[in-house]
Amino acid sequence: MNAELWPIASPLTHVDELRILASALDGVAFREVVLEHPFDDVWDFVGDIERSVPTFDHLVTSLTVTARDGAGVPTRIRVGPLRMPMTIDMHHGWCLMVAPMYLVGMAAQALDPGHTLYGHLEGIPPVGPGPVRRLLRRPLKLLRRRHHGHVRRDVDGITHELARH
Amino acid sequence: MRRAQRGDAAAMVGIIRELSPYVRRLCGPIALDRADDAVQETMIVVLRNLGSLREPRALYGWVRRIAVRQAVRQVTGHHDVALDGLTELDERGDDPFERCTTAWDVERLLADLPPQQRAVLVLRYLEDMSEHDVADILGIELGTVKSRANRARTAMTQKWAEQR
Repeated sequence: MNAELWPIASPLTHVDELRILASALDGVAFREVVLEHPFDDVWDFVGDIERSVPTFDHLVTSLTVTARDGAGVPTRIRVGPLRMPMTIDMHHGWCLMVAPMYLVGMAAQALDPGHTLYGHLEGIPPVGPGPVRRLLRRPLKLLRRRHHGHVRRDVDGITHELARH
Repeated sequence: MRRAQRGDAAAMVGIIRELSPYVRRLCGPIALDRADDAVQETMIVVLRNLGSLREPRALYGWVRRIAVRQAVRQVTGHHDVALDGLTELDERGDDPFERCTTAWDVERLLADLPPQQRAVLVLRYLEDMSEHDVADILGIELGTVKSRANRARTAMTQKWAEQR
């Protein structure tokens, strides 16, 4: 029996990964949209986080990269106006920004030469030992509605900025 | 693993990336054209319940159980997967998959079986598990498994004969 002949499910895309993460975390909101722009155009804009994030997120006044790895990829940022430090995991089509009490995820996947699936996650993930997380579950779920509004505005902002460029 | 259990998002992404190739291999033959959905549902259940796993070495066995049940559920649409009626493979008989020379052959044979039987085939052929372990994972009595031996293999053998 040749195991390689058996059917196998498709590999997960970065948007799939973000969608799964959002479904597993009580305190975050997630939205995905099809953007009528090529993947490279979308990621050239979104991935340039120092420039892009303050333009589409009305709560962010500035975003500064404070550390980069050997390849020049950002690994730490500071987000204004609270000067909130965040660690960042970033590569082509994927960006996860993590602070102790906040989480932002952005992912993109080319659908065809002119369309890109974009996913955006944001919110307060329940972190800590099991009992603490269980205690936080209910209040975080209540906050999720607010995060949904924030994520919708961010995605609308990205759509608007892409149309301007 | 411990970081993911505490809700560390970056570690949870690491768990998704580590486990998904294995989950894709389990869900593919059971859920077939619904396999991609089954993989995502499995990963969500795994992440939401990761904190309940006390022994990290048991991770893959625990994930296997979730994946197989989610894959069957995805195609049957049942929240409580009815696993009674699963069949066992006859150790003495031929392996019908030996005759398959292409992925299309394998998929065609699997597509004519109920998802519960496909789950048994995956555990016996791909995972090389014993009858006892298959019964344990699927939550049915070993006696029930044994009493229904051969059904999947017989069906596949007949199908193969019809197709050739």
